[in-house]
Formats: sequence, structure tokens, C-alpha cells
Amino acid sequence: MLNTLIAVVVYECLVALVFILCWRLVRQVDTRLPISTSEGPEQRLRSGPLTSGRGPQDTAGAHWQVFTFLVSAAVLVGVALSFSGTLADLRASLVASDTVFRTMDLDPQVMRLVLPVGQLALLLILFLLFRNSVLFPAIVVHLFLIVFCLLVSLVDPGRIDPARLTLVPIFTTNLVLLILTHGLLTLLFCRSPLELVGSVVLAAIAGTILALGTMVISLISSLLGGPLFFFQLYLVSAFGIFGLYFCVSSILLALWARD
Amino acid sequence: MTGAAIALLVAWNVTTTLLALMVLVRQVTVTLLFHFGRRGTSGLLVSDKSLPKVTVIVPAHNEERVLYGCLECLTRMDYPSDRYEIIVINDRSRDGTGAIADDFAARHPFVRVIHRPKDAAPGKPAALLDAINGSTSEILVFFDADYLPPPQIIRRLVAPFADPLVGATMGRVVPYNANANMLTKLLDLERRGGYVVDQEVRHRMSLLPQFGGTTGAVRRSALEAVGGWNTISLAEDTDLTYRLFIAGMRVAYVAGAECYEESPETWQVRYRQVKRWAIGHNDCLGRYFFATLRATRQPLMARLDAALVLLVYTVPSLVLLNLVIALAMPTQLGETWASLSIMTVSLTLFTGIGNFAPFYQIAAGCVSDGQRRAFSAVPFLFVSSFTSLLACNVGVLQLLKDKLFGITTQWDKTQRFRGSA
Repeated sequence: MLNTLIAVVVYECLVALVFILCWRLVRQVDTRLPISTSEGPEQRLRSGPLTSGRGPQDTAGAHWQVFTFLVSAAVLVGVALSFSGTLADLRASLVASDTVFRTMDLDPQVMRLVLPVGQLALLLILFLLFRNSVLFPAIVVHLFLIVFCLLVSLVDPGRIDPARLTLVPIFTTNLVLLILTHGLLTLLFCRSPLELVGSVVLAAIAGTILALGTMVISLISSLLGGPLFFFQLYLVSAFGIFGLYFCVSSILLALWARD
Repeated sequence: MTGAAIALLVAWNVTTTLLALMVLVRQVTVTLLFHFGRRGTSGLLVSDKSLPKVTVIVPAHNEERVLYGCLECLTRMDYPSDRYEIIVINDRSRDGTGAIADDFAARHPFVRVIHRPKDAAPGKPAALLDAINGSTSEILVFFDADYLPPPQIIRRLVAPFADPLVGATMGRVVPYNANANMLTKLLDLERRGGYVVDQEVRHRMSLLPQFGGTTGAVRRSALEAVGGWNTISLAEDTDLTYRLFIAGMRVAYVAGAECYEESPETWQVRYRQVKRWAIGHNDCLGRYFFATLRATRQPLMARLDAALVLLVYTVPSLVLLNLVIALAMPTQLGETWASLSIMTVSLTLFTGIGNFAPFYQIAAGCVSDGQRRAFSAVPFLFVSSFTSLLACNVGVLQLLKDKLFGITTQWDKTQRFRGSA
């Protein structure tokens, strides 16, 4: 159980680290948009129709985009499934190696509360430190949610015990949403053969992220039940899977995209 | 918990989930239409001879930090001076706003200043009404005092009025301080999604683009035909948009009419702004939702879309309420497949609506602008979406309280950040 807890905490710390790195990188990207119709003599005399949209509209051929969409989806599914298999073995050995800690006499209920209470404490600290930060509203909403979950769990403490849940629907939902997200971005962003290759590489990374996130959800499900589990599920899905995917694509865009 | 109460909760959850899903699906569909649809033209420029007389109205309440820049731009406008006037409304300002406006009026014969007395009715809509009553032009153009309009913008905004069915026009707003911090970057992204994609598709598909109250123009006769300016509403722009729509008129979005604005740079200012919009917008929802659906002079698709857009500031409250109910449900029902399914769907919606629903619109907006790198801020959309979530919920609660106790909600002015001119 202690191993499981450590693995979840390490994963959540890694996600936080990626977000911080991405924040620092994105902060330096110049996103100002020049007004396209403001100055210049030709603009003053112009009287013909204006084409809506500013940027170059040339994209890779539709058939290439559809092809890339299909290849990306196949790569994403393939990597997610095969990596999930590898991680399942890792998860089993992780749980088995908990024997190391059997000599430590720890109450399972206390262990179950470590993660949510730890997050509550962290959010309380952030609440006090980040009052003027743009992150403050996000901290307030998450503080409200975790307090609510803890209160609901207090009403019926038995619900904290993990129940046997099948993770297939969660994995499938996230997989479908990730394929759609990646596919839509490919259609919009990829214009050259190199960018189409980049899209396939990103699909492989997305598959890895999904497999890793699902393993963490699986670990959490063996640790927690009831509303506290669903709160963790929300955190991992929103930030640990989709957030990470967007962070990676964002880093790629910030570093390599040329408009 | 009784069976009836449980059934009621489940019914509520399913209904609101479907509603939120419709909003989500609409956003993706609109973007697909934008991406794959025909590229239209965003308006013709009218020759000098046919240009109508216009009055530009600039409401200003304690705007000394920004007013100078706005008036500098407006006095250099490319528009025949015999058909052009500017009315600055010094709305009970306690700073140097009045002096700046008077200085411009002394230098330019087409600039007039209305100084509102201290006991005048508060709020931007009331100030605008004074200016509308004090002008005679058929076309009224509105700019907030922090805006920096380019020289061609008024020509572009008046061009669609050649169509007699057009009651109002709306341009595109571009934040000039997008680089100030992460919040302004995200607001810039939201603007791109909202204007470049959503407004454009609404215009192209003959749906209902929103008249935003600034960087927009209104035909006086259309305004009078729908009962004049509403000074009570906190979203007088939305109010007018829907009254025009219900009366069978159109709002035209002019993509080429771009104007700089200042985005809020702190979450507190953004919070108050969204709260005000949420109160005003939800007030319009109560008044115009069914009337919009019954507006038989408009095509069915336009009515349905306009009704959905009215729900935009309600959905965050529904989604949060759904999540709270769903999280509490297993305690009441046990972990049955039904309660677990509701929980999973509610969680997915909370994540989807809150964080990443607009990502595709934003992506399309960035690509259309030729600025794909701007999209890189999208992982942090949760920062602005949680501000909006809080503000919308508080706004809904305040509207309910004000309605219940018959209180008139007060106008809350947006703070400016630009250094003094």
C-alpha cells in the first residue's frame, strides 16, 4: 500500500513539474496579434471585398491529413495498449513488493487518507500564498471539491474502502477523447510532411501518457473508494492525461512551430 | 432519501448533462464548419458618397488612464468629417477624464462632451442613453474608452447597413496586452476562439452573431423599433441583440473591423467582469429564451443556436451542481452502476466543459490568424475557466437573490491597467 501511495505521489509531482516547465516556457512566447487593417496607404484606399481570416490557409492535402489521422489513431491505440500491458506487470510487482513494508504497522484507513488530506494541506498552503495569483480561483474550486469529498466520506466512512471497479470504461472514454483531440489538432495544425510525422510521434507520446495515467488511476482505485476516488480520477484525467498531452504539444509548438 | 427524490436528482442530472453536451457538440460543430466551410467575404467598403452620418459614442467613467489614446485614434478616423461626430460621455468621473475630453472638444469641432451630473443614474447603459438622446445620426457606433480603433474601422462597421435587415454590426476585438501575463494570454485565446471562429460562423451561416456593445454599430431606427436602449440590464448589448433577432432583424459580424482593447490583468478584475456578464446574460436568458425559440421570422437553426448561446453563462453552474450531486450520490444510493455512470459522466463534463471544451475553436482561431504558437498556452486554460466558473456561479446566485428581494443590481466598472497617457 505504501508503494502504491508513493507511486501515485511521484506521478502527481511529475505532472506538476511538467506544468511548471511548460508555464515558464509559454510565458516567454510572444502571442500579440498585430491589427491587420490599421495602417498603410493601400488600406486607406482599399474598397474591395475582404477575405476573412488572416493567415495562410494552405494545408497538406486532405487525403494526407486523413491518412495521418488514421496512422496517429493506430499508433496511439497500439502504444496505449502495449504500454498498458507492460505497466500492468510493473503494477503487479509494485504491489507485491509492498511486503518490504509489512513490518511497518500502518492502519489502512490512515494510509487511505494520506493522499486526500495531503492534497487538502497543500491546497490550504497555496490558498494562503497565492491570493493575488491567477491560479487562486482554481485553488478555491479544488479546495471546495476536496473538502466536500472529505465531508461526504465522513458521513459514511465505509465508502472510503476500495470497491472492485472495472477500469475499461474509464480507459476507453479517455482513449476516444484523446484520439478525437489529437485528430482535430492534426487536421488544423499539420501542413507539411514533417509536421505530419511530428503528429504521429505526438500520438505515440499520447498513448504512453494514457497508459501511464490509467495505471495511476488503477493504483488509486486499489487505495481509495467513493467520492475521494472519483476526485482523484478527475485530477488524473484532467491534468495527468489531457493536461500532460496539451503540455507536450504546447512545448513542441512553442519550440518548433514557425508561422 | 426517498425514491421520488432520487428519481428527481437523476432526472435533473440527465437533463443538465444533455444540455451541457449540446453546448459542447455545438462548439465542435461550429469549428468544423469554420475549418471546412466556404471562406466568405467579411464586408465591402462603401464609397464616400454613400457613407451615412455616424455618431461615435465613448462612455467614460474615471478613464483618465486610457481615454486620451482612444480619442487620439478616433480623431484620426478615415471618415468624411461632415458626416462624423464623437460624443464623449464624462460619466460622473472624479479624475481628469472630463478635462481630457474637453481638451479634445476644444481642438476638434466634431467632438462633443456630455458631462453627467453626480446625481445622474449610474451605470454604462444609462450613460449611453444620454448620448443616444443627444445625437441625431442614423448610425450609432460604440467604443469603450480603453479601445484603440484603427482608421478604417468605421467604414467597415457601417458597410453592412446597406442591407435594410441589418440592425447592428459587430467588429473583432483584439487584446493589445496579451503578453502581460498568463491570464491575458488566455483571454487572448478565448477572444480568438469567440470572434475568429464562433462569431464568423454565426455570421456566415445566417445565425445570430452577438452585438458586444463596443466595436459595434447600431441603426437608430432599428433600436427605436425594438423599444430603445435598455438601461436596466447589465448586459444591454445581449439584450439588444436578442430584441433585434426576435423582431426579425440581423446582426452582422465584420471580421475585418478589428480593434485593440485592454484585457483584465488580474483575476479579481476578470472575476468581476465575468460575474457582471453572467448576471446580465442570465437575466436575458430568463426574458428571451422562449421568445427566441418562438421568433418565427428567423430560420429554425438560427433560433435553436441563439437559444443555446443564451445558456452559455448557465452551463458552468449546471456542471458544478451536477458534479456535487454526483459525488454525493454513492453515499445515498450505494455504488450501483447508475450512480457510478452518473459520476463518470459528470466528471467528464466538468473536465471537458471547464478545461478543454473551447480548445478546438481556439486552435482554429490561432491557425486562421497565422499564429499557431499562440495555441501553446492552452494547457493553462483551466486558470481562466475556474475564474469564470466561480464568477458564473456567484453571478447566478446574486441574480436569484436580487430577483427574490427586488434589488437592482449595480453596474461594476472594469479597472484599467494601462499607464497614464
